Amino acid sequence: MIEKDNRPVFLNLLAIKLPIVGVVSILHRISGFALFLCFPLVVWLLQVSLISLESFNQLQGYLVNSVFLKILVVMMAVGFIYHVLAGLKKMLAEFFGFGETLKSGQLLSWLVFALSFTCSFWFLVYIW
Amino acid sequence: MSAVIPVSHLQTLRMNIYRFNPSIDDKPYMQDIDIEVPTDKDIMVLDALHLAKVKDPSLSYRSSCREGVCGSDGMNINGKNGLACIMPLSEAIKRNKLTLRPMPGLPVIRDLIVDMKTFFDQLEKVQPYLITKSKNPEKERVQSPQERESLDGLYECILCGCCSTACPSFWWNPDKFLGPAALLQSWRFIADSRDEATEERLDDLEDSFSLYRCHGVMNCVSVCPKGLNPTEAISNIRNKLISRKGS
Amino acid sequence: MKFLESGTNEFLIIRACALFMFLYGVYLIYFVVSNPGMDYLLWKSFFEGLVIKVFSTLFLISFAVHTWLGTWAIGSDYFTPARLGGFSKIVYVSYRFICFLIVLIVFIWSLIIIW
Repeated sequence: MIEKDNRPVFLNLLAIKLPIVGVVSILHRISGFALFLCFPLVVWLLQVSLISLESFNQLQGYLVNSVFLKILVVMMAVGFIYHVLAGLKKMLAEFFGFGETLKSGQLLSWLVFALSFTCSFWFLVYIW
Repeated sequence: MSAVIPVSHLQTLRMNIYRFNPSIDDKPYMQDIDIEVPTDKDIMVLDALHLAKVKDPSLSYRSSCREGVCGSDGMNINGKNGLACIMPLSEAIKRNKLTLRPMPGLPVIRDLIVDMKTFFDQLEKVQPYLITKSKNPEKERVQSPQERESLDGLYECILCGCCSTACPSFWWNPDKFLGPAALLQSWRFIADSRDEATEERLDDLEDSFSLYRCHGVMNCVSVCPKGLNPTEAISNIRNKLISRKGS
Repeated sequence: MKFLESGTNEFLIIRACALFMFLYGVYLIYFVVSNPGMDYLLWKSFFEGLVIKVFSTLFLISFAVHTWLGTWAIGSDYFTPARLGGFSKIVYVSYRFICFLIVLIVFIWSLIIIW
């Protein structure tokens, strides 16, 4: 019979420092899961855009006029852009060995943030 | 380290230390202890702990060699894991405060002392010793200088636990994911030209938890007091696992 | 199951699916960007081609596999007995069931739309 361990464990995540490479990693997980949850919405938008001329035009109208829909689409795009870029960084390290030292890992992390921001900005301009 | 220092060269440092005594306390708490540290010398966190213990003798922590080779005094220093005996105050102190907590994720025995059992259990699983099948040679198993070089950055591990206790994957599954320290040692033996159990070692790492919980967070590399790189070691093992799939 | 019990296989499959989905996404974005002010007819005809239908179906399979394995990794990190005690089994199973529903809905619905 194994006794239950009542001893405390220090795991206050707010008190533990997370370096930038760790931040990239956890955001990659969060963005992935968020995208997963949003996908039914994406499918619905696809359906609306394909089903008839009227609904296509209606959707286009909403996209142009509704700030809410624009924000929603931008958020999904940002999540997608970030998840893909962070994923590419991860695969760069796993398959080509780039970014496995502390310095190179930090550099690529900043690159992911910079590129994500830039691409998201482009998309924002494109859609607005 | 003497506790008697000329007053003119001292300044007060506030230490904020995690305390827990299972026979007295219901739950852990943070305690402030103010100590006087020299301004003309950069002492180590361990020295500061010794000074704190003069103020409060009930304070408990592990230490031994005091020179960064035994791995006893791994702890969480101002949010980042490190070895107290080789972490100078100049590097450790933030805003004139030194917050010390036990290494994350492991059960606390008392104050800054944690139970390293799960850490060592995982190490045991990788069989961290040379495994040979061929007959023992007359003198020794010969290794060229180049072959010996490939063990640099691997043999130096002092098993302090800073890396594994900084790894989120190890926090969530310390019994299934081996953690950076054990995996680094696994690679240390896979990479050793004298070891003859490479295939078996790799077989043991094929499942989805032992190695594949590593997502490249790199906290391990960030905290290692010996400057080692478990992420790279894990990557090397993974490359071997993948390339032998093709054959 | 034996096939998936191998962490190496799981590792490679997630990344293969990711790469495939990335290529699909790039192609889609390329099409949209190279046709500014695209009208309904062009958009509809794009999805009518057999090649796109097959490509999209493969995308959906990749999506299903990638997200199923990805969400499994998340679940097995956070919904463990060590963290949730007695509730872990029910929480984990509920979580997997919801993930399964989402994958199923996306997969079936998209197939209907595409074909």
